[in-house]
Amino acid sequence: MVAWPDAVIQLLSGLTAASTLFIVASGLTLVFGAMRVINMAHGSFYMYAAFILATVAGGAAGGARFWVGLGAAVVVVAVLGGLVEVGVLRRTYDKEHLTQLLATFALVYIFADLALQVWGGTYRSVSVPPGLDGQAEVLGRAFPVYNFFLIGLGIAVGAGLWFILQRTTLGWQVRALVEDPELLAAAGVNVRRVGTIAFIIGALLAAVAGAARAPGITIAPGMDTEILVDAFIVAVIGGLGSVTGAALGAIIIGLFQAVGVLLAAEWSSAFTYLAMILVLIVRPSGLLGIPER
Amino acid sequence: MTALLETRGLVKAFGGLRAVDGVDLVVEQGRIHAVIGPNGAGKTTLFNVITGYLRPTAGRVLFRGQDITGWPPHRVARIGLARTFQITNIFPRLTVLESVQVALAAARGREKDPLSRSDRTFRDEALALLEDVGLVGLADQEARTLSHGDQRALEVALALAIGPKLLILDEPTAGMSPWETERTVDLIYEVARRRGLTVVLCEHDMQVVFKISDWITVMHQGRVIAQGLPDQIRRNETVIQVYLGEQV
Repeated sequence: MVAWPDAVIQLLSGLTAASTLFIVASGLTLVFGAMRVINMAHGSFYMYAAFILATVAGGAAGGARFWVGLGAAVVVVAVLGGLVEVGVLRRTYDKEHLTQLLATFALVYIFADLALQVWGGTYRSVSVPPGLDGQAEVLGRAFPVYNFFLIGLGIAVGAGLWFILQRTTLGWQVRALVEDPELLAAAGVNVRRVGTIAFIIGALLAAVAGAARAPGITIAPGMDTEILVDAFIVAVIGGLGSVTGAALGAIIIGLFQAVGVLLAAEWSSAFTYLAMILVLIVRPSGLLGIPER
Repeated sequence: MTALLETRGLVKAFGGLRAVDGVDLVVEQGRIHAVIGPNGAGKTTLFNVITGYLRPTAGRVLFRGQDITGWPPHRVARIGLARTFQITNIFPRLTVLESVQVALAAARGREKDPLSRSDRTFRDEALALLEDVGLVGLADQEARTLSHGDQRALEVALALAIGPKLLILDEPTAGMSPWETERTVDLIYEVARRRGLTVVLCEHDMQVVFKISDWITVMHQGRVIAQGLPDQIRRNETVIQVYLGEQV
């Protein structure tokens, strides 16, 4: 039997994982929601952010340079996102979905090879920034302070996204874009610009997650596709296109994984798929998804 | 009379098919100008080329004397040329009020300030516009919950939000009950007269056409086959033969 303080710690670990998953998946789902594009290269943005952070603030001398690295990672990836949208995706909007999927899938490989060229195949790590290191005591158990920071970051990102989407003109335009780009253009809105901005925000979210998650994980090639699969599962569970859904999906996956570790550690990743299957049986369009017409 | 909108030798070809085939259209300021013709005559294609949704194969589009050929839709909209679509186009999940506010914000250049608080943006003006089209009571409803007639009225409100000089309506009464048709026609007529708008509309309901038009252009197979006052069109032999025959 599991002692209940351990269960609470496990719950907090689940929420920590959920927080990062949510930030990544919200970017994926936002881009899909605005433009009906599944960006397979979303995980590449996540990985690049981690590598850039490690380059600036990695190793023993890191520490205080963490925030500089985080800023650099977010800016570089946002620019990269803009280039991808303008240079590649924009040419595919009038094509089939399969073409878009293939184009972004090609980018996954290009970005992965480019990363190997720039950073090599070695593992890197980043230490937790000063002030957020150390352990907090929860019910007599130790829990990393940085994990509380991650949970808080997830909540802040969620609140920020909600505000932008519901309460600003840009947010309305992003919501209107998916519903009717023609009409939005007839209203005098430069729809290409709104699309580019939405895509940049999506890339930025991947970058924030990748950089914030970097301390405590091994930064290595392959983390791009790994996070993409997780983010995709989260977004599908929540309902593709729904940011609130992504938050729910992330919490479900985070908690399922945490419980899974308690019950059967070696099966923990199977719990992710179990959660997805259960949700999709009950709601094929995801928790808050809208069935396609 | 001054021409507000003019097309010169406008052609739009899809492969071998010339959907619009050398159209010279002159829309005079202040008129309600109907474009009629059988299905496939090229009316919607003509509107799409004028408003920038399609690039012309040849020819020019002039609006207030300015050459706007090939401009993207949002630029065409910003210089005062608004349109509605054949299939009802609304933002289903935005509320009626939000929809109009989006259009107002876009028209007034608030796009440049994307983080402006939308709930306070142009609220009063949006409500005034909804008053004009009779939707003020439904302001907080999601647009998809509106009846077909109300959705059409919302489209007109959206088009008016950009403060147009010219309004292009593509089959505004398509799929409407007689009661809704009458209401929509009255709305168009009222709004156009009150705001001094020039209106170009394409319509299959000949009662509507002859009731509100000042001028009629008849298209057939991509070409203009006749134009003139409603009475002239009603008596035009060619027009009766290819289009009006069975209806009048």
